[in-house]
Amino acid sequence: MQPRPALPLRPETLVQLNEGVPDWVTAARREGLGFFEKLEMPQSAEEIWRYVDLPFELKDLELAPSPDAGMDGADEIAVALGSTAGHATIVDGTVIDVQSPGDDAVFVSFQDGFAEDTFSGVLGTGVPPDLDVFSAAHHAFGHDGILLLIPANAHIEKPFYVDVQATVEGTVSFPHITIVVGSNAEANVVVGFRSPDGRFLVVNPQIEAFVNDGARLRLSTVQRFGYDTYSISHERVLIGRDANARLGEVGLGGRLGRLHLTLDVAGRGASTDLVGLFFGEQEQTLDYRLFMNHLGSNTSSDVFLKGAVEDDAKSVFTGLVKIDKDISKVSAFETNRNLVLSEGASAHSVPNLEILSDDVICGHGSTVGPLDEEPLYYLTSRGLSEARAARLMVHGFFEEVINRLPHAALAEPVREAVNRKFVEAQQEGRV
Amino acid sequence: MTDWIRITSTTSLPEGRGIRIEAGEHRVALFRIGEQVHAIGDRCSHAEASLSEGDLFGTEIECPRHGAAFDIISGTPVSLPATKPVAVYQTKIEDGELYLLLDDREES
Repeated sequence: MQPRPALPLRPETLVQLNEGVPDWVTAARREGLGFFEKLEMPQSAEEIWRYVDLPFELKDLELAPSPDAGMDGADEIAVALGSTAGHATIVDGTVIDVQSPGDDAVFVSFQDGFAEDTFSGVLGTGVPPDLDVFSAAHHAFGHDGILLLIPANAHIEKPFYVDVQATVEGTVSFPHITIVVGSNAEANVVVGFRSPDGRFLVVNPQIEAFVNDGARLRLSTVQRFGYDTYSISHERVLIGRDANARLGEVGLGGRLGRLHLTLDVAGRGASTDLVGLFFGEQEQTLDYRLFMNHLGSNTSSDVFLKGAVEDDAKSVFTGLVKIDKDISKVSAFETNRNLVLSEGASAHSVPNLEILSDDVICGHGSTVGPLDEEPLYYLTSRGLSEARAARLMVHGFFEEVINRLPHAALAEPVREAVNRKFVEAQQEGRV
Repeated sequence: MTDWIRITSTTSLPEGRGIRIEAGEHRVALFRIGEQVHAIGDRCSHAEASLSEGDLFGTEIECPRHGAAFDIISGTPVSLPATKPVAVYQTKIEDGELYLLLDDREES
């Protein structure tokens, strides 16, 4: 394939990207382009973008060129996972490598996936293109990604790992991942995001997962973007009858790490739990917008998210649990706990319930505050220095959620990253 | 037995954090600082916890469970709640390979 230079986000670029692509894909991209041309950049006056400041205009950025190679250096997530069912690398929105040793599943790039046409009617149906200008741009210019299909009744124990990177300064990329778990099948997927520090980059990933009847999916994402990366990601998971999805969300990097996550607990008896943690430092903004839609009876959901912010960092969690009328026997819980470790840092936590049915058990809770004085005092009374006591408490705060991540193998690298962040903040006098 | 036991190549040891190995009955925490490798008993002398999982500050390892700290060169405790030292193992590096002397522990 010819190397492709960086290109403007304009119709003529789309013409180029659409060469040799099936008609259903070009039609979907054209629809995305239509919304992209119509929609404006979001303003922080809009509730869903409140607290978020975007210092760029998406339409002025260029689509990242085709990459030469990925990032150097060891990937601690890949090391921790060990042997996988499949391993793919997406650099600047282009798949550069896919390895899948087994033949139980389809695990391919767009190009190979298009040849088989298995994903027609599925790809791009998760996140609507008119959701916001970023989703529209993704639908129009998201030209590559990973397609994973687990056939019905297949049980694949080892994880599929997708290493998503961004590298070229001043560009935007649109990495995409589509996951289809067939009826009664079982699969698990880990997605890692990374980019170098000190490069202005915009990444707009989309992950869509379709968990069919009776299927089980474990899906973890670990966001470790560099400090000058703006990540605006969309994720949607649709959970069918008696199906279960366990999600893990870890947010550590990025100048902006935004996740717009929609979970449709759709089929009767469907269930999901989401466990997440984030740690913001310096001028980072970590922004979680969760939409939990209970669309079927006898469904359950549990959200447990913990985060810490220090220095001038900011975190946002808005979680809307929605239960339709005529839906019964639903249980839904949402918990968000935040540690504010410096005076300049702030955490905004807004859990919401919108319940149109009366046969439900729901709960929500959120806390925002500094380290608790009393245990700090107790620990120092037992001979620990204040710095040591604070480390133990931050450690313990996150341990509860690290132990509940859907992929136990991720516990060690995540624990290490979080502890390192706090130790650095202490050593640099930020907390 | 007083033989030196070959453990691993030094390049496979991470810098600035611990790694735990098991050799016979011994659970040993290894710490590489530059060209030097220090080895101490992995179990905190205060309570059951793995020191290799702790945070390393210079030559001081902090127990992840209760915040006790030890000097990784001498094995002596430098913070409560630990009051007793941990074992120290002699190490040597030959041709980039790390060797440990396992039964020659110094309870200093």
